[in-house]
Amino acid sequence: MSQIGTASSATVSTWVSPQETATSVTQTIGAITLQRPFGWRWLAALVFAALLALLLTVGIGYLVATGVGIWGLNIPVAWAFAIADYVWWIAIGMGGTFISAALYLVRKPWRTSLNRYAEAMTVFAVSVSGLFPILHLGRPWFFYWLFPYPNVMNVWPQWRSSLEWDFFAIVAYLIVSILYWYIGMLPDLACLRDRAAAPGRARFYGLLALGWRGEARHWARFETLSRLLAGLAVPLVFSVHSMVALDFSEALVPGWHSTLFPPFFVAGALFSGFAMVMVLGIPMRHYLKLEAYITERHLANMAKLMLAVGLVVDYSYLADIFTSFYSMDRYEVAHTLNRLFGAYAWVFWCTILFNVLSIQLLWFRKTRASPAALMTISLGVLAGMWLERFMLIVTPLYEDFTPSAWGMYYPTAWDFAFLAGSIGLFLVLYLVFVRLLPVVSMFELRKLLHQLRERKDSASRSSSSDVPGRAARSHFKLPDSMASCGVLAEFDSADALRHAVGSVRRQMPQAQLEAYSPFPVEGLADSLGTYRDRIAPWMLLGAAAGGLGTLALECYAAGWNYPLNVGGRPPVSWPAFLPPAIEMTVLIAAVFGVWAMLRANALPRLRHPLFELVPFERASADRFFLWLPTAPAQFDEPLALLGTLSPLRLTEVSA
Amino acid sequence: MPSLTPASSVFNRREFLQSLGGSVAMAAVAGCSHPPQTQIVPYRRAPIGQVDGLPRFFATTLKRSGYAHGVLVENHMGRPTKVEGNPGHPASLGATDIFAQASVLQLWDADRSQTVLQSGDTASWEVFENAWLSRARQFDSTGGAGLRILTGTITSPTLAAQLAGLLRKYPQARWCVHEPVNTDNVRAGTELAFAMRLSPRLRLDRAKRVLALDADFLCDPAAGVRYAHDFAMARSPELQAGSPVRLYAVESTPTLTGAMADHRLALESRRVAGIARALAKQLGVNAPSENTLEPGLARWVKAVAADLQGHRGESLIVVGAAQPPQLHALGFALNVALGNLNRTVDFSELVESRPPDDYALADLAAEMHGGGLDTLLVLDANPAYDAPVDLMFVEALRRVPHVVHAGLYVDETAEHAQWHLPLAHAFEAWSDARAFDGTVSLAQPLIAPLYQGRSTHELLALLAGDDVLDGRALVRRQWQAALPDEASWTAALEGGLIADSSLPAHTVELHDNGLSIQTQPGPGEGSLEIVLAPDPTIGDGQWANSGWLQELPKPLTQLTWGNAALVSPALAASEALSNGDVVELTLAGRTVRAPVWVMPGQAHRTVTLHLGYGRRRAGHNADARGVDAYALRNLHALWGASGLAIRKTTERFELASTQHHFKMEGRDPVRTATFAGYERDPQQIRAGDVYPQKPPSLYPPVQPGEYAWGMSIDLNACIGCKACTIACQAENNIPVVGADQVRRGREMHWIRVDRYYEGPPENPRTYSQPVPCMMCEHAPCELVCPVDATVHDSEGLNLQVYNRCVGTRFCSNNCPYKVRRFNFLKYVDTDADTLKAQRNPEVTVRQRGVMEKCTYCIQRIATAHIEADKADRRIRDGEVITACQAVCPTQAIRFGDTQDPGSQVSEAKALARHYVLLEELNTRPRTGYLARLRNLNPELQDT
Repeated sequence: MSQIGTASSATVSTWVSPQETATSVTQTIGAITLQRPFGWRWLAALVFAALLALLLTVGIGYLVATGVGIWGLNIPVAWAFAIADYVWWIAIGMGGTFISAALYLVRKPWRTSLNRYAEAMTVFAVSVSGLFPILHLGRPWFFYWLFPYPNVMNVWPQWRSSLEWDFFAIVAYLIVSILYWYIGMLPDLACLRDRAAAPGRARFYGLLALGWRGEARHWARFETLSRLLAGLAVPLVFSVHSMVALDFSEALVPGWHSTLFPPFFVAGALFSGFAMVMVLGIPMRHYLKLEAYITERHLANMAKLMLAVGLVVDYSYLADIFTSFYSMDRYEVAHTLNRLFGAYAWVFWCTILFNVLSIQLLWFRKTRASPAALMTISLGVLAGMWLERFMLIVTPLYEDFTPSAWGMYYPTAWDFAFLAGSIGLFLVLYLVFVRLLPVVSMFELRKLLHQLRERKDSASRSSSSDVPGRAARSHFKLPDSMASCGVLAEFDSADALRHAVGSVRRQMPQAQLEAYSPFPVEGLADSLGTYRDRIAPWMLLGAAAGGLGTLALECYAAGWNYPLNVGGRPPVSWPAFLPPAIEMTVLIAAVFGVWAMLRANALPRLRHPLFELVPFERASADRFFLWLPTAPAQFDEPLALLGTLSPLRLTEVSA
Repeated sequence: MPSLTPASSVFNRREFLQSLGGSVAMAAVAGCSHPPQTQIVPYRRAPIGQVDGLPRFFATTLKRSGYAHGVLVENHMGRPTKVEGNPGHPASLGATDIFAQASVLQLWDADRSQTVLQSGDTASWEVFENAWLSRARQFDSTGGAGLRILTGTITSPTLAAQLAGLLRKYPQARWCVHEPVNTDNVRAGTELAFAMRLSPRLRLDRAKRVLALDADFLCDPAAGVRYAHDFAMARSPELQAGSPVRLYAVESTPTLTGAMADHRLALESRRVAGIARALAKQLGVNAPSENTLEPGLARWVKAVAADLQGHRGESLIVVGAAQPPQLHALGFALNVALGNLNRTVDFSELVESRPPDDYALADLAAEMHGGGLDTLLVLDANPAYDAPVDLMFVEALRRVPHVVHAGLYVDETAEHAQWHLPLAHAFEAWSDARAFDGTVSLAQPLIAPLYQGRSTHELLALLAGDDVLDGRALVRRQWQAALPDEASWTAALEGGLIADSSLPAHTVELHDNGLSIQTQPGPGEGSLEIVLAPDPTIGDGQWANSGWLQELPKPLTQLTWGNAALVSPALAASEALSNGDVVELTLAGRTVRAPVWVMPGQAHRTVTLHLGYGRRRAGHNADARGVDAYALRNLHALWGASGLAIRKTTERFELASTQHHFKMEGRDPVRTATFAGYERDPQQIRAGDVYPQKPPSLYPPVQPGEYAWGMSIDLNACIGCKACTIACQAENNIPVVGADQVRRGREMHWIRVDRYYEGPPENPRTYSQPVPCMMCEHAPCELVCPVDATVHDSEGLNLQVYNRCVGTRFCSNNCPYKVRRFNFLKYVDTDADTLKAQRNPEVTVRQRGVMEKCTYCIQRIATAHIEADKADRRIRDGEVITACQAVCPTQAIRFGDTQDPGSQVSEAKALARHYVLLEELNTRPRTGYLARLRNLNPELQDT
């Protein structure tokens, strides 16, 4: 199996406790949402977070009624806390995407336990971050003016502004993250749908699951889409954080105007993202008893990653300082001296403490093995990264070119309220997520366990038993409206199902087989016969439409429909028009991909004959099914054939 | 003029609109609700006939410290909205000071007195008239015994005649003049020197060497605008090829005049006389031999004396109003000795009208305390606030049974008066006044009184039982002889003055050279001295309720909304004081608490406290703001005294300053050279430029439009008076944000005047630099706006589209000059109805959440476009005059089409001393600067 092809079985085994099975995974993780009563700790945390979120709500109301003057902003420091909050949150999002997408692409098995909550963190962090650029506007209710829409005034956005690029980047990132997160959750939602005892919950998860059944060809398209989305998400996050960096480096402000910023911001984003993954994961694994899935090795690996990107960030600090002195530019040098020794120097030195010095402890195995130490360091990194953003934003502004305009920035209580409130809102979303949605990707864990067993099995073939047992038989009559009949065979392993598919295909080449499994089984879809997977071409089409369409719109709007002299630039400034086009390339491709996957899989389809069958509900957990559609009169042949394949159960289905 | 409004204490919208409808510009329109009873005449250059939507300009006169300043008032459909200088008026020459600009806001000030008050309760003119009639009957029989009249400085011939008439009618009555910021010492100096009361007049345009002895002549209340103009002309390297004026200043506290000086001495106020005496000795004016000057000062005096001596007849010594009469006499004697008489200075007969018997405020206060007085008329004065504290004037007022106060505001004096009568604002009344040179200036009303106000003339006529009660008739009667026919009267009104009415130079003869002046160390020598000076922006306190003036940063401290005790850096170091520390200042047993401001260039042992703050009853902008310096002002030490004790307290007060950094940090926003150096090597101004030629660009050049507007600001002319800031505020509806918002760094001025220091803090070189929008051709602000809210037009203007602005503020971050201003909150006052009437209808009122900035007065450019298009011609050079340009006394700002090589602005930009700010950024500003030049005396070290 390619996913563990390079890893030894011994290594893999430590990513998940060897006692775990598909059944126990489903049981444990499903129980978090379905069975565990609300603990008082969770409730207390929710109340605390909700109070903070309420503070944010009150703050937003006051802000909209009064103006951004409630913050400490002024001229020259026209950006401060809110923009630091924005960059901080969107950067935290990046860690999640990196784990779920980049590690997926390079097939690191240990991402399996982390990716769901990391991706959830991304979605919530990006959502929270998206509030700030809007609230930060002098007239927040006109934020949609950044969006190009046809209007009688022929008024268009100004495509050369990095804020415009960033607007596209945030929108694309948010939508793609939500799609990636949600689509990746479909099989687990289906699992919860099938496990939920209360009808209301079943309906809730049923609606969310879009009728996911775990059919082999669905899985194949799902995997294609996951790979492609992951392939898009990685460059997307890199572009998004480059855009965030360009919000500053497009300006000519000394301390902002730097080509270092995009990679620097990407590293910083990963850094704080990993720290947040740690800060969320360590208490979660403790309180939700997830130690079997999020092991100490996971934490140690995260720590190593954090150290690695942290060192890149530290290098960037050095490079930034070196470059300014190397340039001998009067304003750059003055700014750097300000950063080191000016009025806000304490912010810089705190940044050094948290982001440079404290992470050096991660070189030691002992530190990496201590969740308490990791938690402390990660919290420090989160604080340090916020302070770094404050430093990067405020220090260049408070003393820039014209000495007469220099002035200090002092935050008001509302500045702090919005920061605290945003943390509250994030925590509310996260706490609700923990109760409502599977925090660990169950189907991926099952797949990992399967791969683990498979290797073990191939090492000791003797344990497999070929003795045919007597399968239980049952009849089931579907309601008349569902004109569907056939034979359903239930197996206890992917191998058995794969074996059965092979046998049936040989014996009954004409049969329209469907195979259902609780995780994607390699090669199963192909063994069922040819199927169409046009997700990649659709996504290519979406990418072309998004990218070229946006570029065309920009050129039309700025060059032909209403040309304006903006900063002496030519009307068609195509290099400056590329960033929105890149973001739209990714966004439209992702939307097309999701649409193509759902359409090819005929989803959503909330009602399906198989859902009526009692045993089928384990198709989303730990059982494997083969569906052989046959007229009731011809049940005998398939029954006989399937009976030889040692199924656990055979069900005759008739309408 | 009879009252237009019924007796009512509340001014409602209906009455307001009625007043508007009855405004003077509509006089000729039949059917208006309340037309004024009289006819006024538009300024001669204005178009004949009112055109709706087009402003009309009327010439009238504003008084400052009693002296006339000729102005043109812009009227929009009968609403006075903006004041410009009257080009034909000798005290204006087309420019104004900050107070004239603020007068339009004062007109619309809702805190103005609106109704007659009797013991604080609403009354009416009829009730007062009846009450007065009974008193007048008594005065008729007693010859006015027990009647006293207190006024400010009066130069109005009509009012003087009325007062004379009243005193003739009531020979027992007496008249007293009280002006808190006065020129009594100058007058006494002329009396000493020439045995005559005279008014000196400076001819700075003829001077080549000027020595200012504690004299801030550029801010002179009567003639500062004119003097600044003359000085700037005398200083222009282009106009005065090779021989520009050289200014020496000796002063205790930095002033704008001192900041313009080529050589400045920071010296305690009490030691200035010593310099004058040493100078007298050097100039051979029969001075005694004793020399108390330390060697450095002696060298300085020697060099200055030699320089003055070398420019006989074109030198000038000016002594400040705060210095004693003997020093003025000495100054006059030195000017005579230098042959300057009637060349750079001459004397006219006294412009002010004075009480014939020299009845002084101290005499009045003594009589009041004595309890023998019956009636005191306080006419447009506020002694309860600004009389010397040792007169205990409030106590004195309590002993007078009938105090009648007439004023614009229900102020501290009104509080202690039985009757308060609302006066008409200068824009609501007929009047006249003399300018500094005696020119008779006529004032005509521009709007019918908004409230129940009457003019001083009408009031005096009423009190004197005159048979003529109408303001216009009173003034007309005064000038019946000089302007016998209607044509001449109309012509005078059109021009705002009576032609050739300036007073002729008087022949004088020196009687006393003032050398008797005491320069030996006095008892207080070595102790601290306090200097009490009028506040740079709110004067003696009568302007305290003006939001514009309160928020106008004081020229040298950049403080707003309050005053502070200015201390020298050395004193601050020895007393461990820093900005905002509250100190107790004790003088002669009286103590005030004031926050400290460390003032570079302040004389070591001098503490300066500006008058005008600490108002108790002046309006919502003024009350309880700042420190009342009058609390330390004694009758015999009006301008300060030695023997001050200073004690630091633990308290702190956050002062609201608009500028926090005063060093140039090697970035040379103000470029300087010496005249000699500049003549030798004109290229040195731009020697450090990265792009001496046209800077390179990646982008194709933008097709030029019909015009290419540009501006040039001459830092060599700019004296830093900030009239441009306030003119811009008036023109462009710029809101006032208040002290708290200023502390947060959110002031809204579109053109700020930066101040930089260079050199040692004890006596630094001081530079002023007006900074409007630079209108960069490669505007960094435009590039970063995501919604096209700031873009360029074809004529090179960097436009701000308020409607489109969403308020990201990236443009401000990316503006290297930080000229953009943001409405962080709702700063525009949309609640006060009267303020709405003040606003310029041509300029959008900005909402909260949008960015704004200088537009080069685009509304004026648009008006010129329309006029040119109508006549099918190009806009002429000088046809568009921005508000800042128009108001500038020194004509430092030039504006026009930079494509036209013959335009004034192109000529300025072609000079070798032209440069742009931060040229290395390649923003290509359209606003440029002309370098400041200093005319150094080679004999003196450059300090």
